Amino acid sequence: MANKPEDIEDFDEEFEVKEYLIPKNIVNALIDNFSIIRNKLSEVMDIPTSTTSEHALGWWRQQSGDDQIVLKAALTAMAAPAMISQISIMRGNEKYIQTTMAQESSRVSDPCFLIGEDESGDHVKIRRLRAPDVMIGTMLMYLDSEMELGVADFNFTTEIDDFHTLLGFLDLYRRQYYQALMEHEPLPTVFNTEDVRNSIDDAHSYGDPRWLLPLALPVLPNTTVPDQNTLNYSLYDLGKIGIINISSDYSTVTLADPTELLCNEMLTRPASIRITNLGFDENNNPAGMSTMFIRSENLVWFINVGGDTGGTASWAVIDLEKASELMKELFTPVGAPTVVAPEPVEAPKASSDAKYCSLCGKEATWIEQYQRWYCYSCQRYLDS
Amino acid sequence: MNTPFTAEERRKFLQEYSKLHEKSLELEYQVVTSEVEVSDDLVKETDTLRVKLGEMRDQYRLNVPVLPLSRCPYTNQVVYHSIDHYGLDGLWWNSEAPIRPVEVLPSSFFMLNGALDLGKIEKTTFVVKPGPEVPYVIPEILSLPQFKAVISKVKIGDHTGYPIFYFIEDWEEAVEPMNNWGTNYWSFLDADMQLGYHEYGVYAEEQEPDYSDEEIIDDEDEEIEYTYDFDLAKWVDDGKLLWVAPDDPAFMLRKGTSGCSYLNLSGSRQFSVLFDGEYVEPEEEES
Repeated sequence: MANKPEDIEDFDEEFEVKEYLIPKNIVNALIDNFSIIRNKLSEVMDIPTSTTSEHALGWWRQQSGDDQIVLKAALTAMAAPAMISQISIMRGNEKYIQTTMAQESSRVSDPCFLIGEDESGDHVKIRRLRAPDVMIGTMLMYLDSEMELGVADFNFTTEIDDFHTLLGFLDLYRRQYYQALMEHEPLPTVFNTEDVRNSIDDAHSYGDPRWLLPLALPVLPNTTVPDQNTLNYSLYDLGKIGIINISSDYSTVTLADPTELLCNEMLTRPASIRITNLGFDENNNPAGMSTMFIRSENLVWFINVGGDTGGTASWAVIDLEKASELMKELFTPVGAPTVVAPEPVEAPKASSDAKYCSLCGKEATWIEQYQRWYCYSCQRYLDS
Repeated sequence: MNTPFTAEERRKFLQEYSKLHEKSLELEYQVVTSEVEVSDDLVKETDTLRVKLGEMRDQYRLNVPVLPLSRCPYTNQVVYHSIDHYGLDGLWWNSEAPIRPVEVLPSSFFMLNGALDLGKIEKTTFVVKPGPEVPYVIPEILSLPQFKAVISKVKIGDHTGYPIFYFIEDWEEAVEPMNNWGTNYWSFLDADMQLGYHEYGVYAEEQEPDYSDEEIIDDEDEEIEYTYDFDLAKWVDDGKLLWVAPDDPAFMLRKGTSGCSYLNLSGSRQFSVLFDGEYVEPEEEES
């Protein structure tokens, strides 16, 4: 995001839970030192290369016993998450929140961790939640926004490219609404297709999450600004499913009736939530899913970005109960992550290069990935 | 839960602890048996030594290794548990007063049993009860639908250990756990970070139920007596007992008897009691 609102906050105000800071450069050393087994998903955490083990252990010894228990569980969750959820929340136009939730257990009722970084970027910031339900409760509170919630039977599906176009159009509508207010003019009912493209271009250029398309961009596979011709085709597709009406010369679009409701609802958005889940499917293959929950003036919208094929976006108006149900489903890991097992690699042949375990005396195995010697008998790495 | 001992650090630590412990016993004996008034210096020295030993036990608790030993079939989490795998002379194995850290375990952890195929027995000043030489299960627990167990293998000094972890799907359906491997109590840390701690088969004094007003009825289900089953194949076949292949660094759970090296192991089925480097006498059942 090139242009975020200045007041970027995190969950400190919402969660009265202790915050733990671990220097980023010792996280890997601690994980190794405690013989914590990693899985493939941990690579998403992007933990930098560690400093020496001594430095890491020196830091660890300064932590209290109670803190060590929480920190150890957090390190385990970072090393072997069953699921990682990247969550971004735009509250009104004022507060932008980003966090990553790591769940080690495949049980949704088990504790999880919010993982981020501090302002300096030097520390991993960790908070332990009793369960993902705590996070769900907070997001539902944002969606509720203490405003009366209406109901509507409104759902539709578009191709993912057309979803990109639609969000650009919704942003254009909102812009023109504000412009009309500023200039004491009525809100236009006809929009130039060129302006739709400009709106999309603006979203890509500035990445300001107060607008819908920039908020959604990180989860959209196609992140380029379409040329006018491609955009017109996309607008035409939206016209075919009754979202908009496009003129025969492709120069202007007008709103279809249901879309007027959508556009007007999206003028005020007390909360917009984007969730990207990274985990594994039933066959233990890597899988990802992106969703958005948007609280507009009177409605809560759920958008499944990608769908089963990765090529569609489905919108539906839902109530809070359904939102809760969907979130619980989202935060329930399905498959088992692949473990990053130390791959035995043939050790150097020269006998002088061989290493022996100081504990059992057996010959150790060189683990190429971690550049360390491992004793399979004692299940531990040798001291470097 | 601090930084694990190296073998050499542990050896030096236990040497020092043993020396001070012996000295402490001597001093305390002098204090208790003295027929004249004990000097302040002797009392002070005894107290100082007692404090020092307490500090050393705390240090041991911080340094005892916490290793990956199993995996939960319900949460798929690797289970990390403290264990002094350097040998039975570590204070972790003191059956009456084991020195162990607070364990951070999956919410599904129910209890830990174990067996130990004995090698050369270490000299200890405390009693060690490492279980029988071959692994077993508790049928009264494992036959309940809400339980599964996982067996694995870990080298413990000159011995071969078989940790058997029990996991529960739904705590609403819990029964009383047995004491943890090698100890006289069971314990766990729940999701609210509260420590559950008790002794198998014993009510805490203040919690002892008062049955005085109740009609005495002959209820066979009231107290289930746990037994031991060394025939693991049927439990593995039924999918109730899963296993981790020896030396599998990924601790993947395996099902079925094919390739399972934990079946039909030879060794004593008596629960070992060890003291001062010797096999003392077999217990009829685990206390």
